[in-house]
Amino acid sequence: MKNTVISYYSESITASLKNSSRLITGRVGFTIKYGEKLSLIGETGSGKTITALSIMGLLPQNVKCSGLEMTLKCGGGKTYRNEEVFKTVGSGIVYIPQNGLESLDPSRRVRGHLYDTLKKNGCPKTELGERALQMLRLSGFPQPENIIDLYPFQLSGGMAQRVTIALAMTGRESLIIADEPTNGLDRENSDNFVRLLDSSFPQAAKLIITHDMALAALTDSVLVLKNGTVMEKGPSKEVLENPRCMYTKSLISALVKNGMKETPVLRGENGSCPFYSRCPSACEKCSSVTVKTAGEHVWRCI
Amino acid sequence: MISIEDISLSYRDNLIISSASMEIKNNAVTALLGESGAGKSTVARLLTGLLTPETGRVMMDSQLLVSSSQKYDRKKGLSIQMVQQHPYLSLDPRQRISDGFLEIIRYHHMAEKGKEKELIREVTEAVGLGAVVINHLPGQISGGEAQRVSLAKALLFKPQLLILDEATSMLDVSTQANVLSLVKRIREKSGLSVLLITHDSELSETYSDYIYRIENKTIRREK
Repeated sequence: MKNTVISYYSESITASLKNSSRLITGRVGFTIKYGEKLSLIGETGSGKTITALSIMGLLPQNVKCSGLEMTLKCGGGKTYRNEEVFKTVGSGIVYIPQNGLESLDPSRRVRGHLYDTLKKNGCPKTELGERALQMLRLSGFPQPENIIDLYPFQLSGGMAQRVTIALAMTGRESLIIADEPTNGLDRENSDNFVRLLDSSFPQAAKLIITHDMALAALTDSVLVLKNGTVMEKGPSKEVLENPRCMYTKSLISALVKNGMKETPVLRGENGSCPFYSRCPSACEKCSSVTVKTAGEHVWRCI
Repeated sequence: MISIEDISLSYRDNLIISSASMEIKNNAVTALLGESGAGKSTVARLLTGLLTPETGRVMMDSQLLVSSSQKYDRKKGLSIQMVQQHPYLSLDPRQRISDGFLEIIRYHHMAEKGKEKELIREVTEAVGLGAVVINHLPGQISGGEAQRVSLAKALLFKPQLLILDEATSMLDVSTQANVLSLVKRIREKSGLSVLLITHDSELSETYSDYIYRIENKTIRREK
């Protein structure tokens, strides 16, 4: 499609263990257009991060992705396909990690981190200082001179997160992958993060991995994963306000504002649906469930 | 009841709290709200003896727990237990979950020799952890399971006060609901008090009986 920045599809991602192998994700596919945000939501261990790592070719050695069909459109109109996409990590694809503080080298000042990124992207030595200050200014530090020589331990969680955003500003970024970017931040800082992401990277496609429903509601579309299976996807307003899949409904009813309803294990056996053991509506029909669609809204439930 | 009276506290040479007071009532959930960096965890560190106040004192059932002039009473302090934000950080990555329990039980002489496993089964069942999970290493369990392990370890001490320091903020919504409902059930059964440290005002409003807020270095009661 004309406006698509990334088109991703993988048949499966599997981990090889000592004496066996384990399927981490099944068929997962999505596209993100210029300037749009897609959020991957689901419980811990549902395969959100591993999907993002497969885009960057950063899967652990014992984990293999098969049937990968991926294209990424970078600045200048060049299109990269499948494994070629991995070469764009650090320039075309930038990754904002979960914990800003933990992802920075504790023994190096902010300046050192920024210089590394700038050098990797071909910035002349004479311009490093000014460009680094500019990156900090754009990522929400009105007086970057006060920040640039601090060590990570001198930054608060919110400040460290903004530094990681500054590090992502390569000038050539077309896909931003943010992994649980607002974890541990308060609501105000979370909302600021999304605003900053939009203002810093207006053209880039953004893939946001989160379990924060309020953050997901700020994105254009949502993909719900459960044990590596796509349970539901579509425009975020439609999926979050009118969920069709029981699993998405359970996630929404577990929100504080909806009374934090529990989803206990209801039956011992596993069915064809990953949510079968905890689903209050599970029945014989579940075994014959096929994917249903209504416009862009896709779900997997009876 | 635990009362924090006229406390001033500094952390890394910065004054975090100045002449603040609050009460944590028995058999109730008290929430402590505040933005990132406001000093919520500093209060938790004070209650668990990791920080000493510069002024004021903390009383526990009318007895002194710590003050600016008297060291933290470690024996009394054992009845205050904390579950922290990062579930894996409080677990030794090379130690099986069951061995972690055994270490605590033996160190604090919580059970007679040979009866340790019975006690482990008792606390792990209370938090809904299966027998298989406790034989795993921390890296092999999910975030929700790791948080249940931390909770079970805290329950070994039969605490009077359980501090949940952003204990569910790293968890997904359904795991958060499951863990908080579990704490609620344990609380109703054992009469435990809970100090819920959070920046989520919606959660504190729903889950707590009393709410305090840390702002501008002081603590004020909101509910």
